[in-house]
Amino acid sequence: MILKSKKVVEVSRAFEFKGRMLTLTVLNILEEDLVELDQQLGEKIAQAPEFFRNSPIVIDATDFDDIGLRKVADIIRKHMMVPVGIIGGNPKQEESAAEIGLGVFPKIKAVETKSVDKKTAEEKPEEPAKHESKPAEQEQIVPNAQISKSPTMLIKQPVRSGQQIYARGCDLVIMSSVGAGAEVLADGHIHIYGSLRGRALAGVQGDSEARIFCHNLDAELISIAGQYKMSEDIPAEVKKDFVQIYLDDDQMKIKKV
Amino acid sequence: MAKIIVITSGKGGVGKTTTSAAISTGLAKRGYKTVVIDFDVGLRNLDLIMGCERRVVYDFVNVIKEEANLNQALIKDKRVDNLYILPASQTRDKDALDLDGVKRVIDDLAKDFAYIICDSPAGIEKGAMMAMYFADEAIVVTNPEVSSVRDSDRVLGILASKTQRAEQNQEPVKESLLLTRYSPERVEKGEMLSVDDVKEILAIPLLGVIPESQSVLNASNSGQPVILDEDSDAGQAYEDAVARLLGDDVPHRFLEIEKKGFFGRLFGG
Repeated sequence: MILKSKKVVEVSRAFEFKGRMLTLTVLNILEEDLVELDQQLGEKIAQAPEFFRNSPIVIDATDFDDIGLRKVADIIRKHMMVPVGIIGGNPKQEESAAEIGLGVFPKIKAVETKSVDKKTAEEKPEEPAKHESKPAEQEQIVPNAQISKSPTMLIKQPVRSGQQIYARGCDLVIMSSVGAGAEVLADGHIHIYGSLRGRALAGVQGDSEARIFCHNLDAELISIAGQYKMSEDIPAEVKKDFVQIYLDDDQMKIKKV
Repeated sequence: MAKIIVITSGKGGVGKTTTSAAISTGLAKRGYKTVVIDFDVGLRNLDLIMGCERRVVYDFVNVIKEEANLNQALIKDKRVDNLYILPASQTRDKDALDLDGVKRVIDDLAKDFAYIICDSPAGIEKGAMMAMYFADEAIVVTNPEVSSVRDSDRVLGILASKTQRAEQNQEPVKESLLLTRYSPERVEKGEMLSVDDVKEILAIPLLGVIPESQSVLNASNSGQPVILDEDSDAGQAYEDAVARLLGDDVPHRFLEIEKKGFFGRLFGG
C-alpha cells in the first residue's frame, strides 16, 4: 500500500524484505509465580478463547529474572498461544530465548495508551488484586531495524478510515485529511494539511519535543510521547481550528496557529 | 476494451442495487452493450429490481463452477436492448466465489460487452472484495449520514490498496461519489449532511446526487429500474449521472429545496 517500496521491474526477485508494523500481544509477567501465572492466564483466556487462540505472544522479561523462560513459554503454549519472542530481557535471558527458538525484539519505548498521568502508571501498587486485570497488554512493536535517519514521509492521498500510517524514525506530512477511524503515527512531528478526524500520535518512541500541526482539528485522539487527549478532552474553542499540539512541561497544550 | 465498474458502499441499504440497475440500464439505453452482475450471492436482489426474477435459470455461481455457460445464465432485458443481467445464486454463499472463477467470467464478458457493472454486496468481506477486485472504476454509493460516510471512507481505502490495479501498481481505480436519498429539506434543518460536507470528508469527485424519492420505492416494487421513469426526479438524476460517467459536463440538480419562499431565499444561501 502506501508503505510499499518502489518495485524494481527488470530482475525478478525471489523475495523481498518489508518493514511491517504489527500489533502484538505482550505478556507482562508481574509476579514470579508460575502456578499463579498458569491459573490466571487460563481464567483470562476462558473469557475469550477465540480471541487468544494461536495469537503470537511476546514475553516482556523486564520484571523477572529467576523463573525460566522455557517454563513461561510452555505455559503460553499450553493455553494455545504461540510465544514468538522476548523483549526487555537481560543478555542471559536473550541467550536462553535463542536456545528455545524465540526471537529477541529490540527494546523500544512503547506507546502509552493506558493513562494520561504517567506518575500513577509507574507507581504500580503491589497488591496482587491488581494483577488479574490485564495479563496481556497491547503494544506497538516494530520488527524492523533501520533506525537511521530517513527523510520525511509524505502522504498525498487522504488517509481513509481503517488505514494506519507510521512514519518510522521521521516526520510525517499528510497533504490531505485523516478520516475518522484512521490512525497516523510518527516518531517525529506530524503535519496535516487537511482535517484530522481520526487519531494522530507524534513522538511515539518517546520524543516529547514532537508536535502535531493540523489545519482543522476534529480528532478522535491526539497523543505526544504517550500523553494523550481524547476528543471529549479537547476544548471546544480550539476544535475545527488550525492548531499546533505540543508538550510543555509534560502538559499537553493545544494552541491556535 | 470493456470498462468494469463496481458499485460499492460498505454500508447496506444505501442504494447499491438500485444504482446498479439504473446505471446499467442508462448505459444500455445510450447504446452501450452492458451487463450487470449481482455479486450478492445468497441475498439475490438485483433480479427483483430489474424485474427478471422469474427468468433466472442458471446464475453467476453456476458459471463460475462451470455448471452452465455464460449464454445460459445471462438474462436479456425485455425493455432495453443491449442490457443483460447475470444474477447471483440464492442457494449458495459468498464462499462459492473465487478470484480465478470471477476473473474467467469477467474476461469472457469483456470480449463482448462495453460495460460490466458489478453490484457489490454490503460489507468489506469476500463478496465485496470479489466485486471490486477487477474494477477500473468505482462508484461509491453514500447516504448523507455519518455512518454511511465513514463506511464509504473505509471502502475507498480498500479500493486504493486491495484491488488488482493497486496490487499490480497500475493506475488507481477511478473513484466517484454518488450521494443517494438526498433531501435538501432535511439538510436545511440540519438533520442530514450536505453535499459539501460529504464531498469534504470523502474528497472524491461527485458523480451525482439522487434525491430521496417515492419513485425509487415504486420502481423497486414494480421491478422497473427507476431511470426508466423519465418523469421522476430520481430517474432524471440517474440520467445525469450516466451522462457524467460518460464524460459529459452536466450541472447538478435537485440540490436545493424546490419552490423556495422569500425566507428560504433570504436564509437558504
